[in-house]
Amino acid sequence: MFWNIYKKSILRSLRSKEMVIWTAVFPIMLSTLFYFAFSSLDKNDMLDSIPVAIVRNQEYEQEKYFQEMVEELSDSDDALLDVKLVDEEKDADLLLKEGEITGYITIDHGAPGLFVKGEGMSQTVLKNILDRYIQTKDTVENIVKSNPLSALGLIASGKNGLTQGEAGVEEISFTSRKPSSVVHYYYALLAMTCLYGGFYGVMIIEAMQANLSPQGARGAVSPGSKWTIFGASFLASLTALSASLFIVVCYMQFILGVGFGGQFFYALLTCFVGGLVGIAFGCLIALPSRWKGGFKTAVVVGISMICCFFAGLMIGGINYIVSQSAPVLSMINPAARISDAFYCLYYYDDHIRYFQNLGILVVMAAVMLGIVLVFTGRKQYESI
Amino acid sequence: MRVFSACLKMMKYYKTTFVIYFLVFVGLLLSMTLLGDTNMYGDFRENKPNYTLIARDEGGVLENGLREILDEYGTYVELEDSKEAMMDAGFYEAVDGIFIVPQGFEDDFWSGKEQKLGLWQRPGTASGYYLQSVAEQYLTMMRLYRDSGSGTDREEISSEAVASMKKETEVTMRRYLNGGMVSEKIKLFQRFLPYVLLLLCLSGVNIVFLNLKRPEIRMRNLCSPIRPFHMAFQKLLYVCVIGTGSWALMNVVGSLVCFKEWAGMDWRFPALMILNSIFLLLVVISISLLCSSFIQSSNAQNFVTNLCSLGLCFLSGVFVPLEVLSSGILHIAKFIPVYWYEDNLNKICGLTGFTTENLNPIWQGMALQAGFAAAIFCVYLLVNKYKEQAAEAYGAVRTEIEN
Repeated sequence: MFWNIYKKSILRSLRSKEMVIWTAVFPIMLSTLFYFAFSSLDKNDMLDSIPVAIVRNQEYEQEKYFQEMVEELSDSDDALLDVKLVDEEKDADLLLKEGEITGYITIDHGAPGLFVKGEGMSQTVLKNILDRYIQTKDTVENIVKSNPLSALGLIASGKNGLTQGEAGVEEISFTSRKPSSVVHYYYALLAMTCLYGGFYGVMIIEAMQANLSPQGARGAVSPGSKWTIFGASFLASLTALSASLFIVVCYMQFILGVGFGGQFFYALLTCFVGGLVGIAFGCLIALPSRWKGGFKTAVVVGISMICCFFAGLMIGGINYIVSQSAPVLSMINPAARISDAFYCLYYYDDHIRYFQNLGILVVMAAVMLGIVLVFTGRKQYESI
Repeated sequence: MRVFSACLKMMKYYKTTFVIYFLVFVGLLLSMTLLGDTNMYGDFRENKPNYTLIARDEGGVLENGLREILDEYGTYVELEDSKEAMMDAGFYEAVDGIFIVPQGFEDDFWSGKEQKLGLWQRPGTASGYYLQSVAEQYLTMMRLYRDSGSGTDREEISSEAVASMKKETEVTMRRYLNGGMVSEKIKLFQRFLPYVLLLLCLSGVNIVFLNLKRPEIRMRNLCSPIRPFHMAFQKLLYVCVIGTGSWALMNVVGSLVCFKEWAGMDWRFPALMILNSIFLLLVVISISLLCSSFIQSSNAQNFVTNLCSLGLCFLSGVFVPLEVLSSGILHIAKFIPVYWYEDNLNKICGLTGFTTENLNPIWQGMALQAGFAAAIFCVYLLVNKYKEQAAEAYGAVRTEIEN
């Protein structure tokens, strides 16, 4: 009986175009779009060479230290500045107007001045370079004024700081993995696919409710127990959903190159547990026998989308903000837990938090299934 | 105008659905606009990257000075001293840099055997470089004052270094037009407009056309005394009404949300943006018509609506700005009409004058959108002709009645 229902349920899932579309085709399509659209997102805040013009007036020719600094910053393969020297300010202004440079610099009364037409990190870095120059110059002048002998000593020892300073800051890292601005979108997408397993849940319960489907009526008078029918249908749905998720994960990993921290089998385990929660969630939503099928599906989609929004599907990093400002909400959001489990695989060197996430998901699934079993078991039909 | 009236009647029947679609999509557009909005100032304001300073030393003048300087150049974010908290904040870009002051940092600095200040930053980022250079500069200043022997008091040395660090370069913002710049809010609203317009039009058109495709209704229509040309014309009129209505509603919402920003701008900017969105509307109408030829069920309607709107918008710089898209994608995007709308929008926002030379590329962009709209409409006519003749088209349509 069990295996008969299991096989039939699998066939029904595979023949249902909607299920295949929403749990396999749609995530694959969306992940492909993510791949094309987000491929350069990691390079967004990268420090590139900043195009800048310098007006080569008389004062510029006199500022030897400034010239040295500019040369140092623009004279290598990974130079910070891409300098164009122009003879007149109006030429530099024209370049700025046409958007060929980020800003231009003029030396006036011994101090550099910066001209820009917008705000951004490039303009800020440019200003910072000039700030450093005038600050160091000011410091050296102060020292010369207060202690000339010491200043001579500093200059002789090359510690004047005008052109370069000793590194007082060292870079540290917390993990061997590189941070990414992109992967969490894919993880939220996988979480969405897992929660779309709710469609299977709705289908299982509808097929068991005698007043909603002929199949339910047939099941209600069959000699098979409710638990056998429910168990077999649930397992079949989990198998079909896991197969869809397996295809999606393989596509992401092997075609799009999305990283799961080199832990492919743990990623599959996350999908399996996520799918379990998704189906249990759908079963729970489908319990009220007065709700129509379309409405139940709309509720599944609506709640899934809200959960995925807070897991970072639409706005990257919102899951972090929620986890900081409302940790309980974040904790009970299944999409956030699924997405966080993938993040742990990608970024963490150990599995402690990963298994915590899986534990929470299993508890969620158990609670939802418990409610479903209690209410399904009590349901009896006097007439349909 | 019987077909047109029938379409309007059906639209009235689905009015609740339309209102829900409208509210959801407008809500989506507004949240995307408001979440991405940044303030625009008349004068130059530096970007202030987020940083955290984790003090593992007992504190002292060096650390206090560093805090003061970093506060000047960045925005402090409170974090607990745990690896997990720091990793999460760094990964999700809540902070651009995390400074760690090691134990004994203060004493070692004054005794001359310096320990290094730890800094975590996203590798190669401009904000990370900026924070590092600020901290390096402060430490260099302190070292210079310390080694010069110009004072023995630590407080005095630190205050002199901090005072030197507060010297700033004068920055002048160049303005090339009399009116204000196009605000980020208006730009974002206009940028996301194609997505919502596509969703509204595709949903509004297909939900009604699907009913017209039901076999019994088609057969009834085909034997009615209305010429097929008139029928097609009235259907086109309905699509234009839906499209223009959605476009007008979106522009009203946009004007209400960005009222203040519109007021301070040169009038030619909004005029160009509205003109650009009219060409986008032509494209959206022709895409809606083309999609309606392929849709045979309400499930397919949802799928095609999502596929079209998300696909076109992801690849054309709606969700991700064009500047961030890779060059390979930009080459593909040039074959998508929405790209030319977004490209034109960028050009309009970046205008530094309204001379013929400045405006020519914008007219070209609009002409390209019109060309795309015409081409897609021609494809629709061809596909429609083929589909109308196909016998299997009758039996394949499923509406909610059959479902």
